[in-house]
Amino acid sequence: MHPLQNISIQRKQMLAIMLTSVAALLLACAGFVAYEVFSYRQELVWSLTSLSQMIGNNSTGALDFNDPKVAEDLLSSLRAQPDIVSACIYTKDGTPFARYLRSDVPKRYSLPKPQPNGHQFANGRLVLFQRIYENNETIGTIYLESDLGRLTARLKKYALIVGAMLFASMLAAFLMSSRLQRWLSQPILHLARTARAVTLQKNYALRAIKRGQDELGMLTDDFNAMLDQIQQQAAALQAANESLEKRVEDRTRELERSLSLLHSTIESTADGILVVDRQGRIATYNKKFATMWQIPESAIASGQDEQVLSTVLEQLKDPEEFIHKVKDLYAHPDEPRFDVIEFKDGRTFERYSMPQCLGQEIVGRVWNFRDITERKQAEKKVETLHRQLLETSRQAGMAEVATNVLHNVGNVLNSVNVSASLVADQVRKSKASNLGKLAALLQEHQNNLAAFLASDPKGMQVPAYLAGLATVFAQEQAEILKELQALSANIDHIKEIVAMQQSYSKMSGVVEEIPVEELVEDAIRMNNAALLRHDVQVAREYGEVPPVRVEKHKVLQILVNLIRNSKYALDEGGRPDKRLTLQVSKNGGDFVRVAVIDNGCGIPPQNLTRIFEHGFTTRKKGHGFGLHSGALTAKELGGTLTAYSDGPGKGATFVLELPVQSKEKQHE
Amino acid sequence: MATAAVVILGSLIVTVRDDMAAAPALSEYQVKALFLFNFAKYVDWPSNAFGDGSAPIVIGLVGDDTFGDDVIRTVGGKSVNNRPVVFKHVAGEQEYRTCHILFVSASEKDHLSSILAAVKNTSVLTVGETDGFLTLNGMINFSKKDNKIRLEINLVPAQQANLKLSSKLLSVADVVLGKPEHQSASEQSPRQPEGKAD
Repeated sequence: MHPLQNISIQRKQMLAIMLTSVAALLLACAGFVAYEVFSYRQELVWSLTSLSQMIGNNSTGALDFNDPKVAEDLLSSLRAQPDIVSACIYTKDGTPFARYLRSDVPKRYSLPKPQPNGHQFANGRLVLFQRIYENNETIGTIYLESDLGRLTARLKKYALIVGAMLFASMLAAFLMSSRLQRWLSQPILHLARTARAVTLQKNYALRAIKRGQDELGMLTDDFNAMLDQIQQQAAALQAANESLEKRVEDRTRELERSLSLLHSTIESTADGILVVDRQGRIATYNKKFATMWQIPESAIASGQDEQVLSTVLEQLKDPEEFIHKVKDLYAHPDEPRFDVIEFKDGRTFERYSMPQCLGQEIVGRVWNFRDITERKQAEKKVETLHRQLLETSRQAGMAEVATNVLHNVGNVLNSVNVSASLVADQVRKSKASNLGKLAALLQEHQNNLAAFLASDPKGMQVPAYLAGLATVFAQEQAEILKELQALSANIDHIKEIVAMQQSYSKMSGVVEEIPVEELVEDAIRMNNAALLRHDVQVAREYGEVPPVRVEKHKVLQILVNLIRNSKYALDEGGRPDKRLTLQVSKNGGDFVRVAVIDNGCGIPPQNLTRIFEHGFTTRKKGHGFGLHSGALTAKELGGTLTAYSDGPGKGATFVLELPVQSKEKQHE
Repeated sequence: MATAAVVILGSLIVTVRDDMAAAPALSEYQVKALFLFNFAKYVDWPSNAFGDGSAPIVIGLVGDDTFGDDVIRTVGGKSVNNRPVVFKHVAGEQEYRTCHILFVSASEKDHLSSILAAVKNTSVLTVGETDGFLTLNGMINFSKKDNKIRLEINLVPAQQANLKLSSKLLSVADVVLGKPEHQSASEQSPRQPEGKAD
């Protein structure tokens, strides 16, 4: 701020008036003096010029007749002019002819070389050169040097006058302005005093007195009007304040009620609740929260969630994960989050966290903790049970294979039985007994055997009979042989089935490289009897595929199960042309696809996904493990099991995809 | 030509003033020729002295030719008041009268009276270089003083001859005989010529 800003308005006004008058006076004086100096100098030049012309005129004779003495006499007349410092007359060729020096000038005073007509003010001197003409010819030059002593003297006089005038006018300005400024300053000061009084006393009833109709009068009016308004507004404000206080009181009571409601609600819940604002300060929490987390009161009292965090972290199984999630949450304040926290002591909490919104703005976050330890334990139990069940189902699968084997063995045994009975029947019904009778007859006629054979009617028939018997025996032998062969084949089959079963049970867990077709054939063979019994046509569509590396029995278990299911579906469908197609094809480079296709009863769409669920079955006697465990096994093997059906009565297709390289192998 | 004159004049001054460097001194007659020429500027002849407005001012030389052609030609080429100044040698009374300035050489010392008598009652300015020239009613005489050419003037014959000699001319003269005429108020010289007696 300018230092002058702080002086009183009266002084400012006086200062302004006086400075203005002084400035005006100085300006006028400066103009006047400048004009004086200018005109004095001009006058000086004129007078010097005429003086030089006069001297020049008078010095022609001296120059013409070479009489410097005359010229010097002429110049010595300059003594009457005290301003002239020096003078000189030069001849035409510039040589000094005669000269004059004022008495106070030293004799060795050096004179300039002559110059053309002209004058020059320099160093407080006026220097003038004037040519001397005669008969239109320059015959010499006059030099005059004048000092400005008179000018200086005159200027000194002026300075005195100006100073005196300045003093006088300042005095006048001071006297006048100190009186005149009251016109202006009195109302302003009055206004200022009134405003000050209003401010200090806070008394808005005060009014300023108006002194005239000028701008200050208007200002006074406006000031008073302003005070009117302030007075009214202050009254209104007072009233509003009072009503506001009342309302605040009411609201506070309401708020207290709802707070206590909220508090008791929070406390009454079984969950631990923590509310944190955007800056990480704890806004509220319930006792359950502190208990659940075993947080000391002091940590919560600190109000900072970081302190709380630190006491909590050591209880956790994975504190880093916990911190990571908390940080992530702070990074995304608008997202709700759900996760599970595990404790070292085996407890498990569910954490649900939601942003706390005030209108559109997110002001914090509500954390909800639920102790789900018991539930988790129950779940674990269920899982264990499930795993056991799964194991059972797998064993059940194995049992199924065994059932099939026994079934097949039974079927073959049936054939064996039939063959054996047939042979027995054959043997029983054999004409061998007739041979005995013939032998006895022949023994009877031992003595007259020839006559007997030749003449006896009975004996005559014997050769023919023998021939016939031989034929019958040959026939019988052939039949029995045939049956025995079948019997032998059937026994071989049984051996094979048993051996296969043995091989599958033994091979459990061993990964082998097996051609897929062989596996499919084995599966068919295991169901062969049933398929034959139910009159199912089996079609094989084998493409060129690489062998797979799998645990043989697991794949077989799935395939046997699938074929059996198809057989049931075909039975269920009740069509005369029961058809089962087995397709083996490549699916890309890495998978082999085995499709079991039937034209049986089909699967309704709502069941297409459910059939893989645990315990789901459409059969009255089914246990529902088949497809479920099949799908699990396929997954174990690194493959998939999927079902397709166009709906009830439209058949179904089950597709097993197996990796060319086993899952284990791939990992190696 | 003019340059030469200046050089001559300048050189004269140089010799006069002690502090000036020495220059080749002009001969006595070169100075006298210049002075003769300058007289034309300071003397007013009556109007009947000239045939017409542009008639030359004739400077006649009587007696031995002591000037030399160079000097005469140098000064003679110039004019005064639009009149050419002409130097010429004159002999015989008739010729004397045709001159405006008549310089009588020292060689005519013995014939001064008759020569001056010949131009008496005419407007011829007579100039001599002989002591006693003024007493014989000669008008201007060159004298020598401190090796300088000085002037002596006798106003009486000049006034009789109706010649007006400028006060400036009178001011540089060592001796002025007679009193200058009172000129009309407008033409009056502001100063009295200084009469300096030896």
